[in-house]
Amino acid sequence: MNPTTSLVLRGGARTRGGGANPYVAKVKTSVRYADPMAWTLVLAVGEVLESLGESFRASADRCSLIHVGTQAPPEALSSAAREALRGFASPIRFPAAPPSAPTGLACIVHGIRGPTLALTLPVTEGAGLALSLSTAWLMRGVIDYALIATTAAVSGEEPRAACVVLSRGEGQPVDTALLVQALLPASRATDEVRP
Amino acid sequence: MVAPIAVTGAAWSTALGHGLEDVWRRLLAGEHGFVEVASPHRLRNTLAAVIPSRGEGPAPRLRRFAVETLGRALTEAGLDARGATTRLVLGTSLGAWLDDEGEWTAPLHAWADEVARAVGARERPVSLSTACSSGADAILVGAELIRSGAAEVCVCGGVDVMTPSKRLAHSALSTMSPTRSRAFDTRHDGMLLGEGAGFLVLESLEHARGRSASLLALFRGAGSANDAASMTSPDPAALGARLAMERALQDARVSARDIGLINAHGSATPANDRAEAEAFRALFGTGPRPCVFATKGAFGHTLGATGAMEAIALILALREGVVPPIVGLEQPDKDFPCPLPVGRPVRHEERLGLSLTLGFGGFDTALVFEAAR
Repeated sequence: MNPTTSLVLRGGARTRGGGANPYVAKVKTSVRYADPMAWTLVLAVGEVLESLGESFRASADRCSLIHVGTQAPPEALSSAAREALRGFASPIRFPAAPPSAPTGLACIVHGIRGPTLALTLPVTEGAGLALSLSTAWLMRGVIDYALIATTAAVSGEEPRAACVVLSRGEGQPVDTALLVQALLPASRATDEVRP
Repeated sequence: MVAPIAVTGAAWSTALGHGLEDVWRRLLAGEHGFVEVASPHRLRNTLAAVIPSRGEGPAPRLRRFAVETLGRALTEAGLDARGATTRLVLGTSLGAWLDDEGEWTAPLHAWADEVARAVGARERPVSLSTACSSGADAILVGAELIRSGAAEVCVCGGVDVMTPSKRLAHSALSTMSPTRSRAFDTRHDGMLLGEGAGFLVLESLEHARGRSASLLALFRGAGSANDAASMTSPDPAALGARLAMERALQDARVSARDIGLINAHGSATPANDRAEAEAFRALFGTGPRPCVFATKGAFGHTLGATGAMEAIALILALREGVVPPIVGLEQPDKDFPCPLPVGRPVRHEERLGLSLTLGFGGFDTALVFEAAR
């Protein structure tokens, strides 16, 4: 897949969980629980979108989000799995457990209504596909902004996330290596070092 | 103009059986695959549309469904997975992740890697998970791989297993019907779970013609969107579903007037049925309204597999010129904006159809297919 030269990287962010999250209050009536990893993604996406300012707010319906990573939200998944063994299911933990739940939460918080996907691949392999899909949607005029993000849970530490935003325009062309470079530090501690 | 993509093979594993034609015949006859499945837990309903068990746990069961179904789809297409330009795109919702301890700590793509090895694929598969939209999104991604030239053949679809955690959760969420599945009926009160797998073989037209392959259908386009509204309920205004369908139509270079059939998500929850009604009303406006059918009353809600299984049902409906009745539908909701097949199959002469799938987390995906006849 050959990235086009008219696609540019507009910005990026890396975040860690654990601190104050300004987005929690925004959706507390509609989202009663989400995994800390999902909130960390919300932060990263928020930082990137904030940098776009008004130009994004007018285009929320035309912004895609592709999440790449090999971990499901760990707190919600393990909680739901343990509860199932006991013959119980929480109607708020279960929806927070799927690998796609962080993407869904980020869309609710930020109003993203473009195409959304969760590729369950390591960043080194999934970034190229995410770039190709984003390029196709941007070049066909389906969207104006393409977000590509990753999250990682790190044992004994707060979860991490990284997000980049692409658009059509003049600037440094985007290729897979650049994208991996921008996303990889967030996931290096986990899936990228697996044998 | 984006070139259509050939569909040269399809296979499903369902609670009504495995043969493409056999299951289709049973769908037309209005049969369903629900049986009592005992549970040690208190559930809203113990009916489920399951595939007979061989006694294995959820993880090997998921892999078996995928391997067997993939293999049959490839056989039907006259191909095997070892082709140099063949990619697998495999989707599931929660698969066995909550119910098999071996899965908890494994990377999310481990199951897909094992399936790919079992069928002899050369490359690591693309794996994805977008809740109940997974099977449809796998087809969307497979089509993009072909369009971009990254692959000439893609075997894409979804697989899922019914597990104790899913039964408990959908019971707790009240998405599970206490009675039976009745999509678009005035008495609709929820879905019943199922399990299964569905895979399509997509090929570039050039590749398919080069080997004189028979065409099941043409893939014309896809579109997706997010509701951005709720983790569990569809947006009552159905903006995401409408956007997904509009994008699919735009991608296919057709208008809403061209769509003659829709295989709806049809989960039979009141929230789903209202949202789909709103989406179809908005999309079709005052123009002609396509016939809408749904298969969850026969297969159950097969979660990560449902989008692919419904795509196959749509393809067969286009090819055979007939839509199956919606199992459980007896008293159609008068507010539903499109004609529905009630009680018996409905003949048609339509060439273009759309399959719409909705998932937890607001994932909405629409696929457009054309009859190959």
